[in-house]
Amino acid sequence: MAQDVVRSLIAAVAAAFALAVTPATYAQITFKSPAWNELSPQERQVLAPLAPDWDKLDGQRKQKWRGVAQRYPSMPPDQQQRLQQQMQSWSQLTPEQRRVAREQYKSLKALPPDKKQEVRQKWEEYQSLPPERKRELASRPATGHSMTPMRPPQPPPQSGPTPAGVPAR
Amino acid sequence: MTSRETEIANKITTYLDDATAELKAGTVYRLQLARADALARLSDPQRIVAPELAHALAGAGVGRLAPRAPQRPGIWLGLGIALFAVAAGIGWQQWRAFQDTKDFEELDAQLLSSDLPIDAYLDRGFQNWLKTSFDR
Repeated sequence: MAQDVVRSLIAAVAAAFALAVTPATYAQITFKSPAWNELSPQERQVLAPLAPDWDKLDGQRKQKWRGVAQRYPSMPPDQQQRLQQQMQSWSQLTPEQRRVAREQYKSLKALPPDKKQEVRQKWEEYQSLPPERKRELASRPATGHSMTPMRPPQPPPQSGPTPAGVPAR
Repeated sequence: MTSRETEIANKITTYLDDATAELKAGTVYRLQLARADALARLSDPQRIVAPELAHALAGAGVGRLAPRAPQRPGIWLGLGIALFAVAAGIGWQQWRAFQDTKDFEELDAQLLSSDLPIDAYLDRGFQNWLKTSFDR
């Protein structure tokens, strides 16, 4: 009898905890999801590139972007500019592309300082390579950690809005 | 059992035997039925529980059920632990979601303000070009 009760208790607690920590529960955790008009003037100014897509973002993503807006004033002007320029492109990426970009950023950040400084220059050099060479490089297996799915070799940089995609974190 | 106790028991038995001899036939019959019933209960433990439960239910109307409720405190304890486990699990998920958001906030702010465009982090050709250049 006592053993049955103990067994039942263990099962109930295990089931309750398993239910509580499932991804479904995680997904249901609600963050405050303010409308664009509810943002402060400073937040609206910083996050202006996201204004058209703001309503499509879930509460957690909005929370993240508001946090980014809080950091914005402490950044140097050139970083502020780059951040705002890239916000919209970032919001168009798929979750998997964002994951890959974050991983790649972290691996480049871990480079020794001398190599880190060269990366920007290498990017400029890479941009000037002929398209065939870029395609050949892109067709090689990914280096280091997984980098799929990557973008195919990009055409020369051009201004203008990127195609609509999945709103980002 | 001491000799003194045995002596007392014998006396009691004698008195009971004498008194029993004077019982009416109907009384003796009912006592025999009660004895048989008691022996049957001893041989079947489930029949012992039933009268207890019946007794408790019978007393429910006069407030005797409440004092008997704590006989199964394990159930209430289990419910309490299960509720605590749910609350702890949800709390942990909340904390994790909050932590993830803070991590993304910091990482994305750095990534988007870095001097490389987003495409550089997504272009496999560039990653291979970089590796080739650094390996030289």
